[in-house]
Amino acid sequence: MPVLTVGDRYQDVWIAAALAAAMGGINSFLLAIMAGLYRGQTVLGFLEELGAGISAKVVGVVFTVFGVHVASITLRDFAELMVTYFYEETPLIVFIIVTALLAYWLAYMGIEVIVRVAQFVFPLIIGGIILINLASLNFGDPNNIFPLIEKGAAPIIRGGVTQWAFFGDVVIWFLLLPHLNSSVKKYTFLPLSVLAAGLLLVFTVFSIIWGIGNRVAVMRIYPYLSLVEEISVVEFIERVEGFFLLIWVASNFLKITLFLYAASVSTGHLFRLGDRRAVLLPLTILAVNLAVILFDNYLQLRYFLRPEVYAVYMSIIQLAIPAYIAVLWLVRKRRTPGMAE
Amino acid sequence: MLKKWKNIIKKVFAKPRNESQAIGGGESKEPVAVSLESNIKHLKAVFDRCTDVIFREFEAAIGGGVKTAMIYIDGLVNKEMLTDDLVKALMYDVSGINSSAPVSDPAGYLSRSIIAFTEVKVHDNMMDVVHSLLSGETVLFVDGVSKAFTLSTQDWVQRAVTEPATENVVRGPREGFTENLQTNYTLIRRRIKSSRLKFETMKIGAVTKTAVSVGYIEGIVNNKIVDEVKSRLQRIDTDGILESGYIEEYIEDAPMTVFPTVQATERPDKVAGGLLEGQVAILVDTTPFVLLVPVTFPQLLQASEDYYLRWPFASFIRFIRFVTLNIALLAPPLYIAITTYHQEMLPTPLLISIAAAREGVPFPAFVEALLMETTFEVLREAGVRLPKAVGQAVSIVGALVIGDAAVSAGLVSPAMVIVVALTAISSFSLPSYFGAFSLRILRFPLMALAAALGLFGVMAGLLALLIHLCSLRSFGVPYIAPLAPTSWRDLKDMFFRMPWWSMFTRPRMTGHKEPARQDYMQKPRPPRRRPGGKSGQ
Repeated sequence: MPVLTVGDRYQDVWIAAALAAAMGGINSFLLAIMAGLYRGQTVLGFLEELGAGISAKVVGVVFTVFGVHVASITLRDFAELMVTYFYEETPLIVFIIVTALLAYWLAYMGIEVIVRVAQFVFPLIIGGIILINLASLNFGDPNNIFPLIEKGAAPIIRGGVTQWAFFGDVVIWFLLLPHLNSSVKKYTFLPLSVLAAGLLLVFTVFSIIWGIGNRVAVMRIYPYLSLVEEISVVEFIERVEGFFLLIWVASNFLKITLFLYAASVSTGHLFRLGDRRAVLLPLTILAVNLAVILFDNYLQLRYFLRPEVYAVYMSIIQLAIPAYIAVLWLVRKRRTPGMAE
Repeated sequence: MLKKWKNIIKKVFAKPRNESQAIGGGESKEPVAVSLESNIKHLKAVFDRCTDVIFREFEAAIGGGVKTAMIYIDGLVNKEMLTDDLVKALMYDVSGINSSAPVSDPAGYLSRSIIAFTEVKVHDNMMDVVHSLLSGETVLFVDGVSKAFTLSTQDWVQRAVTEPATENVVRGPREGFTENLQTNYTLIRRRIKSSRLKFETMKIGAVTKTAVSVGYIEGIVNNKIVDEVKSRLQRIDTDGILESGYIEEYIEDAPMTVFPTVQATERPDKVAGGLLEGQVAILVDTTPFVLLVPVTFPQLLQASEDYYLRWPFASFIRFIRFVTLNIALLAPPLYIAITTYHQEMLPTPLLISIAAAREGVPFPAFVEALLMETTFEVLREAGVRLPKAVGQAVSIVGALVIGDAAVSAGLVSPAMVIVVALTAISSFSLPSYFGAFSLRILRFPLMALAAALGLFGVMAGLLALLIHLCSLRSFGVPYIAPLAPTSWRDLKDMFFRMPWWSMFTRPRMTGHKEPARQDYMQKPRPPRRRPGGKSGQ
């Protein structure tokens, strides 16, 4: 994804991606262990069972804000690509509103429909990315990836942290656990999915460096798109940017939907709503507004995604809150009969 | 306030139906009288001004002569049979029987020993008599007996079993359902010779009293689906059912969608296949279209021939069908989007030739496409409706208009003609006419989206379509079932048609009660010499 190539660009960025995947994998493994404690409840329900009502409220607010915020960032990021690359004359807001409305509709339909849509679209997205990457291996230059670790470990770690922040999205599962089939008792799919996504990321970033090289990638806003532009298979399959657009729309759409849905679950729990769908439209409107207001232009958005900002922000969600909950559980589990296993 | 208006509207429009409309004048549960005259008088009152109802009075040669009367509807009965087996028999043949001795149960005696018919029913109230008469049975009254005998003499003019008009096959049975319910039962029963095949019949329609039958295979079908079908059918309260389309609209899950969630088919083999996979068939008298539920969208893309051809051919045809599905839905929108917004996606030589062809065209691509698509739909509709004699004229004019004239007049570009023609052919290559219909309707909004937002618009439209498809259900089964929720086991009969010996299981969604279709290990292999066997000889 274009946003992942933010920050320092150098030929070792794929090593950074591998590092990020490893970090994300460990991180999500811890999250999976935590999720096992909830016994099929949402994190908010778990906290309330622990007797930490106020903490539950605070965490609920944080998760709602997080959901809407990430949805709005994704909306903006997505719309910016559309405006920058495909539709120079169309206003940004058109793409934001159309996508947000679709996402709202899908989130309104509930988790069952979301999952079915995802099941349908997911193979297309993954297959498309892999095909693009394979096609780009065709014309790349192996020299692009050398020399390895030219500037030492520091930029790799920095790049790894940047990308690790995006794997933190799996924390959204904390709100979706009740929807899982009750036969699922171990949440090993969390680290596994992160590792799979990490593998895809490594492959993608590697293809970019391999295909167009570090120096060109540095100059482009959307290196991956530049890579797609270069693709030419037997001088027939060319100009597949439209294909890329389909992948791009579908994947972002799913992400936005899921975050809006999670935000609505969290809000619904917060205010004890019988029907969480009532808050969905306000949350969507909020996300649309934020997507327009938060950033003046695309470079600001990129600046926000620097490790100093976004990774710190994300570590609140994926490190601080889980750590807090873990401490709370350790302290309180003896007091609440039946909680200790 | 809203409630008040609702009540007012209810009062004006939704008057409770007149009882006589439902039952008809003179039909009541009145008992059959002892006297022949009064029975005839009653029926003559009921069938006042019905010229096709025939009353025939004669004297049966029992015990020195008993006054009898038979009543039937001309055209619904087999007259030869009546003359030979009823009138002749009663007037001459029974004269030899000495029955002057008093009989304790005259009605039973008559139906057991005198009336020589295979199927005789005894009724004691006039409403049943009227209903049997209307469904083609002959009523026999005997003076002094307060019962009515109805004889199954139904025989009316009907179409023979012919090849179905909508779903043609190269390989496979050529029989299609007919308008006669009994024939349709036969067509299915001949394919499934099992006592587990059940048909439950009910009458729907207050005036038409159409026989509607629910067929399923006990043990394979999910009983909940059968109960749901029956309860939805019983809920129907209308004056008449003339075609299974009426039923379809009353029982479907999503009444507002363009996609059919009930499958209508003319092919008995398709119905038999569906029954074996746990579907429920709804047969309606007077129409050759049988409904199958629950149905999924991929099933609408499958033809019964897929299962008769060898599997590589069938899989190839399936693949072609997915291509044509996409062309039928997407070709015009993509053409509009690419020529309007994304010209850079075309290879340069192609772009130049398209641009040159569009040179003199006065309209934007969207208007052009709309024009041609509308013309085509008009031609298609005209082709269905027009009298056979003028068919040729219209097709010649149509070909000229859609092909040559429009281009040479400079109204549309040749590329557009190709796109529209391809789309038209593709949409008719789908096996389900009704499934293809929904795609044809959806093409128009997608074209508008493509004109407004280019590829993004098409993508947004497709996503909306996907959300809609994913949210649909047909009798509890998700509409795009083997795809999402994904069932790996069922994907073998989705994009490909795997060999028969490899399809061990019935579809998970409908056949999970008895999942095993057949034994494993049926792949044909060369015969092996059995130890000590006779194969060596």
